[in-house]
Amino acid sequence: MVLSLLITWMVVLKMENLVEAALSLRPKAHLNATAARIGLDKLDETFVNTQKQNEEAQKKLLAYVPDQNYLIVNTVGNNFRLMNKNQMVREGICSTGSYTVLKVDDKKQWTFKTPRGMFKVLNKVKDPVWKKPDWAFIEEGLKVPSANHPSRFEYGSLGDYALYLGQGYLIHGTLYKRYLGMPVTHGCVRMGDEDLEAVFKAMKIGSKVYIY
Amino acid sequence: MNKNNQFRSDDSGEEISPATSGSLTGLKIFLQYFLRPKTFVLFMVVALLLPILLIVYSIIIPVGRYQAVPWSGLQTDSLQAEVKLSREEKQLVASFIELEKEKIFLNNRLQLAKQDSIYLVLDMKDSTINLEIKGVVVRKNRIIESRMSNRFDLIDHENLIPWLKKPFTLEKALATIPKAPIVVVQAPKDTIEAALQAKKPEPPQTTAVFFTFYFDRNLVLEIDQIDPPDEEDYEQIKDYRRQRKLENHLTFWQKINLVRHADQKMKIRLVVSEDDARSIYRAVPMNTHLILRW
Repeated sequence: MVLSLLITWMVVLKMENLVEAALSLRPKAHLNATAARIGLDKLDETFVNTQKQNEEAQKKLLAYVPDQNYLIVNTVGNNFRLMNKNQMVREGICSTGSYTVLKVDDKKQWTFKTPRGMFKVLNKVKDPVWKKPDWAFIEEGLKVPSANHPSRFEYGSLGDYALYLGQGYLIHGTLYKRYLGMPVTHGCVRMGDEDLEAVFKAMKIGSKVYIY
Repeated sequence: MNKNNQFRSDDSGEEISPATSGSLTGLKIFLQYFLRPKTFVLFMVVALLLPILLIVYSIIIPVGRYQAVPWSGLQTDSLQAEVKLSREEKQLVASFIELEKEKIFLNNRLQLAKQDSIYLVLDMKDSTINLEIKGVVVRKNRIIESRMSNRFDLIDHENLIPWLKKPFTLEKALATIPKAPIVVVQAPKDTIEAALQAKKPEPPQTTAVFFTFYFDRNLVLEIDQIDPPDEEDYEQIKDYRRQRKLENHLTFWQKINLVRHADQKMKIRLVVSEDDARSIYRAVPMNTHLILRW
């Protein structure tokens, strides 16, 4: 009797698994309804048409892969891959957004994260100058200067090259090479000198950058 | 015995209250009735039959009657059609079905390629779960182990078409890790406070990654990391599993009626590497889409 009640309890607990097991004993799906929908006499024709449609769809999909070099940035693992078609040209580590929220008050705050999605290289600059935004001063406990105050312009901190992605986000170099591979930036993508040079040379204005 | 003493002793010498005495009498009456041969046999029969009745009523009968429809919003008029197929015709229809599934898969990818968001492409044939942006595979994740619900094999192709025809949309997620490792820092008042706040960046934590994505149309995707978790992560994993249990919780009666319920969960369980699991969970937005092929 105890065993019987125990089995009952086990059945109730494992009901879903038992149902799954029982379902596997049922005959698989029938083909009849599909055959009736298409009509057996039209099956060959429909088969060929569908095959053609699939080939076209496949071509359309392939057209989404850029013809020229493109860059894939992984913000989770802080690494990148430089690609040509489906071949990897170069890979390496980088640094992306730290996910720090710098809070001034309830109304004013910045979240330092790298945006995700597809971007295009809008501009390429050698020896870039960093025009420090407001948060760079607030973060250091300094007063925010006027828009074009000389203290906003910093030379050398972005490395030798910069690729502009829009909305203030760049791919650039860094003075803090020991932090490469870690999420430490304010949203930009930082690379080591050699990687940056290779990426700068390989990517043209208009080249695509995929960030995930 | 003292007159004022409201308790009397039983044979063992221990004192028992009138209430206990009452329940003992009740028990005696019950046992006298229960131990009658007829009653006892009847009880034993019912007790022994209980699991059998339960299995028959809640598993065998419902599974036998089960109409494989993954989502109640489907139109399935043509399912009633009766066509006799030869072996060759069966093979041709089967390959056509594969072709049509491929068409749906490609069309869904094309549809999502037009959008800006990151989406998932789960290809069980290829054993991959990829991240794509605008038609470009940005990360290929290899599936190490997988298990699909047996319901998938039972769904008629005519039911599958409307179910698969558009990408699935993520509605809810449960996980052992946060979506974004956000740290809130109060802006320093001056340079002294800023200097005190400044700290060396630390590499990201490597906690165990287990998560469940609940998509629309009853598709559930459970992803576990293959790597054994550290002991310190056990509590977090336990908590996640508890939450998942609550999410999947069904009452006894719901369990009994499970197979007859129109909208049943279509579960897929995947095991991937920790790195892949983390990338998938962190990279996709909370309203991401998924395309499925098997």
